[in-house]
Amino acid sequence: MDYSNYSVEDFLMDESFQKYVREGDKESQKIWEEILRNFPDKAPEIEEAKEILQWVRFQKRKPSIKDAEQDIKRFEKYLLQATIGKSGKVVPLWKRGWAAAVVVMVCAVGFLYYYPQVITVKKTDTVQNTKEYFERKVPDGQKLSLKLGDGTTVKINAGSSIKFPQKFTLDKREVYLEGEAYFEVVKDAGRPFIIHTGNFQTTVLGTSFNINAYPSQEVFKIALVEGKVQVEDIKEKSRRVQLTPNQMAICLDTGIVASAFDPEEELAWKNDILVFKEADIHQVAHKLERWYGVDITLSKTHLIEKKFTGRFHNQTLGHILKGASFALGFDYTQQGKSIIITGTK
Amino acid sequence: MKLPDQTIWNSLKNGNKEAYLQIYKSHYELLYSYGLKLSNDQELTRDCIHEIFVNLWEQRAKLNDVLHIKAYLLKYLRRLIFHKLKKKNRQTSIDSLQQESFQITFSPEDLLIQQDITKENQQKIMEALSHLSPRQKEIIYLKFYDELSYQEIQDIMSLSYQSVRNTLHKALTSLRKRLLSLVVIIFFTSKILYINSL
Repeated sequence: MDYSNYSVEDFLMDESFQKYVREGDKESQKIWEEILRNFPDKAPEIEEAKEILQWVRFQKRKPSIKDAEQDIKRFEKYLLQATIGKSGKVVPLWKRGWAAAVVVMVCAVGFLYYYPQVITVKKTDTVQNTKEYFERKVPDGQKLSLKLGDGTTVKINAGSSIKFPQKFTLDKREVYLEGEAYFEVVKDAGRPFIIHTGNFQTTVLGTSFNINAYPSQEVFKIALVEGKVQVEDIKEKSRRVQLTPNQMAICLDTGIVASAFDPEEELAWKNDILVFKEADIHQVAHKLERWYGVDITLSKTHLIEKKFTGRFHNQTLGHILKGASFALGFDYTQQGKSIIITGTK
Repeated sequence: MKLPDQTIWNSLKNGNKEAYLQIYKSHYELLYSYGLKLSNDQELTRDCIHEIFVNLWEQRAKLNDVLHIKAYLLKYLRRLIFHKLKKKNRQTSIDSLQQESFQITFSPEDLLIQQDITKENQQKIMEALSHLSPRQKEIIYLKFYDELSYQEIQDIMSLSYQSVRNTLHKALTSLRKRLLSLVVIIFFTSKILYINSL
């Protein structure tokens, strides 16, 4: 592009120049520094155009919060009435009230019917954003399968919780996870599926994968089975990886690394298979607590150095304890939900 | 990530309330500030915005396809406010609003607060803006407040692309002339600073 005949006005009219002065983003800066290098004679014009643009920078007059709220309420009220009085006839006020009550009741019944296990419903109410969240907590010893509004299925492992809006917005699907879950995300290119786990977020476009993000653990793991996901640190956006199938992101405080993973080990839980792979006594106890919802106390087990490997499908806790006690060398006593493991050495 | 306008618009046409609410929420402030600039009347602006959205919902099945919702709504608001003001002013002066033009005024509160503009210079800028024609003012508003593209401004004001550009060009020449003294002063100070720092 030839700028040698550009006047101050021409620069002012140039949309790329406007963007450069207004936003000063790196990309525009690069473009315009390059132009200045190529047309050094134009420095005075560019300088003047910059000055003038700085002066005609305006701010918009915003409505007061009270007015904006009043307006949205008026609008929502209209919308409610418009959907009830479909005939277009003017519905008398008392009839309108009745119709609205019926709708609300039906909603409430439907709500209870579909969400029998809802534990808390948190309501955040702002002008911009009116969303209701459901939170599902899965206690130790249980698992839960869920189908979300967009058709995505989630299997949630024991001791985990998930939070999601009653209805996803039009531009994205966001859920919050603590613990471990297996997602089969329905493809929707226009609405990325985002999973928030602590400081990390995983962005998905149609895929199935496993997230392991128990807050008590230091390491979060996201294992991808198929599709494509991006994992990023929300505090340090430069830290991010894109996964390809059979890769796993390991999120640490210091960064995110991608590595291969063993599907047997990472995904078995969703098929109700409990897997131990070279697990020490602490890992075994921890996994059993979560899987069966029991309380395990370790006593004099510091000398146990052996590792335990095993694969159990629908087995009782007693059966596994028996196997592990033999392999690792410990005794145990069980009273209801509490178990004491004692080293034998 | 944002859904394309067409998708949202089609959802509205199909009676999707969520899409409709989203259109309302994401354009409310923009419409408000533009309407207020045109009419200088808060109540009128708010009523017009409400009326537009009521009409949209009632006519949703008959709506045309819209590529740019923002420009469509701003244009709609512009026309509605013009008609309301015309009705209001019928008794007094019919001629003043003949050409779909508005009495836009700028005030120092409109300026983005910048440390290096003195009260005196603010006054000079306001003075320079006040000499523009109504149409020039409106284009300046749409370009530098709402940061719209020429294409959008052309749609909203029902002007040709060339006449939008010509009008803005004239407006900028006039502004530049009136602001010349400011430019020179600032230029000198920055030059002097430059030499000093060497």
